[in-house]
Amino acid sequence: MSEKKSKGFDTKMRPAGEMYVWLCGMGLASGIIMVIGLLWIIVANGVEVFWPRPVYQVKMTDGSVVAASIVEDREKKVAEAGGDFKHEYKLFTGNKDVGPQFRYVDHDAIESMDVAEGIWMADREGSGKAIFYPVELTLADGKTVSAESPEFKAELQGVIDAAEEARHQAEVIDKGVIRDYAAENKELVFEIRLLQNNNPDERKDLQQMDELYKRINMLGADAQDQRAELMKEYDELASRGGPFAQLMEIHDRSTTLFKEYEEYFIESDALKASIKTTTLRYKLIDGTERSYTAGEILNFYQPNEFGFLDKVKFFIAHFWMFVTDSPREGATEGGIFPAIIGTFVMTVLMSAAVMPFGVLAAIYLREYAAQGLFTQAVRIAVNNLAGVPSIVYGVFGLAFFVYGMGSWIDSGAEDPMAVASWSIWLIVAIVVLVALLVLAQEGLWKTRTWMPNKFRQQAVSGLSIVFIVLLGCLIYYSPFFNGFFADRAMLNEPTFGSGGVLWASLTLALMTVPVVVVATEEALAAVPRGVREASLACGASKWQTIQRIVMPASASGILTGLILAMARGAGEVAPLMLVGVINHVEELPIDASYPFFHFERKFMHLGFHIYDLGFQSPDSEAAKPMVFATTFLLIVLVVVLNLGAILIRDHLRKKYATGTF
Amino acid sequence: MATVTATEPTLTEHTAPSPDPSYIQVKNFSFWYGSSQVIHDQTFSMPKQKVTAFIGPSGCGKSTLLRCFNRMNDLIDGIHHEGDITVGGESIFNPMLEVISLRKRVGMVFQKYNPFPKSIYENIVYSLRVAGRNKKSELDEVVERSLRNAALWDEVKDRLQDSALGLSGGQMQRLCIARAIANQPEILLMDEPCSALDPVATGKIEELIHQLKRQFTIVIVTHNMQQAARVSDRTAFFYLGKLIEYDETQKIFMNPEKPQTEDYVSGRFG
Repeated sequence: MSEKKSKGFDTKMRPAGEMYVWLCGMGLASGIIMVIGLLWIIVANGVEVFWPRPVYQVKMTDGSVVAASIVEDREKKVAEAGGDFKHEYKLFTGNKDVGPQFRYVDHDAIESMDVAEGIWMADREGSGKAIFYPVELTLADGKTVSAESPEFKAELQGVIDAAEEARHQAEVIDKGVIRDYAAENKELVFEIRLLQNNNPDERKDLQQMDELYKRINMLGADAQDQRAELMKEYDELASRGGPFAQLMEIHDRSTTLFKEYEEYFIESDALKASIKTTTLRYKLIDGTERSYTAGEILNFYQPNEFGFLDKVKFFIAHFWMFVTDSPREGATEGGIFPAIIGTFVMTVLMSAAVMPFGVLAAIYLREYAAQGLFTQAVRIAVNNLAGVPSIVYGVFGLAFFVYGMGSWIDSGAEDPMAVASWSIWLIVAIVVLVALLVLAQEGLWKTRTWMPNKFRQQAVSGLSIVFIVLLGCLIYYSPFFNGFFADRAMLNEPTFGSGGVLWASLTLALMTVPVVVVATEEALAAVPRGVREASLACGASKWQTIQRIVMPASASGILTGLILAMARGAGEVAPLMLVGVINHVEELPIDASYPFFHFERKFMHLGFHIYDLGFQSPDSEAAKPMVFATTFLLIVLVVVLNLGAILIRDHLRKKYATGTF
Repeated sequence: MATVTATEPTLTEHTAPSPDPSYIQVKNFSFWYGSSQVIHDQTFSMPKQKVTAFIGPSGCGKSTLLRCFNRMNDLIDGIHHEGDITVGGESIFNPMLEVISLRKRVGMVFQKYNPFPKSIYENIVYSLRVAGRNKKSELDEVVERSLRNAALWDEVKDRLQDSALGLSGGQMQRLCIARAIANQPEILLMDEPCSALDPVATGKIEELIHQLKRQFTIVIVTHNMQQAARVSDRTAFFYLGKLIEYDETQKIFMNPEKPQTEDYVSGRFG
């Protein structure tokens, strides 16, 4: 092209608004920077926890010596020095049983800082990390092994492994057989309490008799005189007959039950005792000697001797432990496995609850309802639900699910806590009835026209009729329903009447319904009119069109809604606090004991765990790194769940691509 | 629903007289979208196993009338009609008539090809599946017959399980025709079936229409004057919701009675 000015073209002309591309780019850039910054803080801080740091021998100017790793080197403003900055270290000194784990030391106060050659670190059950030089190991048979001897490490590792094995066996017994015992015994305790409740006049004496029974069982084998005395008193009460005889009968059963399981108790106790038979004597860096039960040491390592590969191994091992262990010591040590499982189960349950609900509602709203003022109002109302603070859902969940439905399941309509009488149940029943009638009608209708596979269709309609009859019975009997766990509820041991993972999931499902409804509606609206008309013109009914054409074509959009709902639900904390989250659980909502799914149980949740660690922990310094690590895992979990949904979505998208429209 | 027996293609010449000259009857029919009337009190009838073409400028109501024959307009809110339309003497607005059974007798091909995002095979058998007919042998037979009738069999017989969306525009439209005739309807409505296609594909479809009219009564809406002249036996010219002239195609194009018709077919307006 020539530089010569052409008469026809205005070369000075520029398209209007071309520079706005920079503005748009800046918007995106700041978004990316924020996301990367946030992720960086979380990942860096969360991952750092598991990376071994070198341990220094720190000599103070006042003459004291500590072994410590540097957590942070920071500036602080000193008021007296006219606003000057001073540098200080935040040191991790461990040895919680001796003094504070963390210390802040000014740079000025440190005389020298050298790498502490050959120093050991160990995780201990009950007292956190120890930093020490080993001296001597006393084995169970009284043999001692000096730290200098070449087999010292092997011996110590042997002790740790043996203790680990014993601990594991004891746990198997405790969580298996002894839990069965506890469950059966609990039933007996309930019987006793029920008996006392049912006989208010004799309650006091019954309590006394129960007390006597407990005292007799507590007595050692040598206290024969005292036993005879108590037995006499007990027999006297028992001979009164009536409820007393019943109580004695229960006590007899309790004794038999205990005898049955006695050997396991003994075995478990013996295993636990075997852990405590070894002792490790060690020296702190300032020379003081201490001893600790060697069996309670979980692992040991020499961080200053680590090569890079050792560090990586250590990192992986500790990270794995964090993911698969239960929390210990106020959650500052150990792992977060129960929280991962709790979050996972809750999110999956929530998705299972919110999907059919939200999708069906959206289908009605978009496909069936006449588009008018009312529909628009409903749509706006649903959208606005997304703006209700989540804690409000928590309160609602507590009132409706926990106190309402939960108490109803526990003790029926008579319970004063249950939502006023059975009218609610009637409404629920009518909704279910309508749903079943629709299904039954479909089944009956199909038998008339659909000749092949006739048997299956008849079975469907037959079953539906049975369901309807059963439901009728349920409705009829509901005012007289006394709950499945009435006895426990009466003794303030609610089953479903207190928070649990089921109620938490339903509460969150309610909270995320707007997300699913909006996304589904968008997806349905995006299905081109052409294919709908084609389907109808082929003689398909409206429902067949929705089921066979519209739903598959909008499946990917619907799943996008689910992904958004999951992300919102999994990260939510506030409502969960009211409907079933707690900071430590012994039992997971899914385990190997019948019936495998225990959705009435309380659960741990990663989001709540973060809050609990950060603000409720007895040792906030120790908990701080765990906050980041937990956050990191929560993000990983959400990403994993989302990736699953995204994979399904992409699969569907490929399958039902409506590319030509 | 009346059972539809497969009419075997006969060797009748297309000039043969129709077995039922007033098969589809429109009686004093008016139609409104909301308060605007788009069809004004029309009465006429169409013969069986012939091709009737509707021509006229945009907005004259020809597509609307076409979509009344299988009650596709039911989907739109705020419509109403007066008068009646009968097919073989039966009213299609009979309140006892399930619209699905009407649509089984009256197939439709749309302006823009709209195959389902499914395989070619599933597209064809869709109308059978929704009617609850799932027997493999029957479906296979229907697929072959429909595709052969739609002159598409040789092109797709080796990839019946491939997505229908991988076909070319012309093939997709013929697939839509195959889909529309799979369930053996009596009437085939075509709403500007070639307006999105190139001349070669258009030629194929026109040829197809010639073949199909031996079995089906075809009503076609078109903007293409030559097409109407080529494919139809009778032509109806609509203008502003009124049937201006309706006669043998040859007469409409060669020797129309009304000046408006002449202006339109000769390209002076429209």
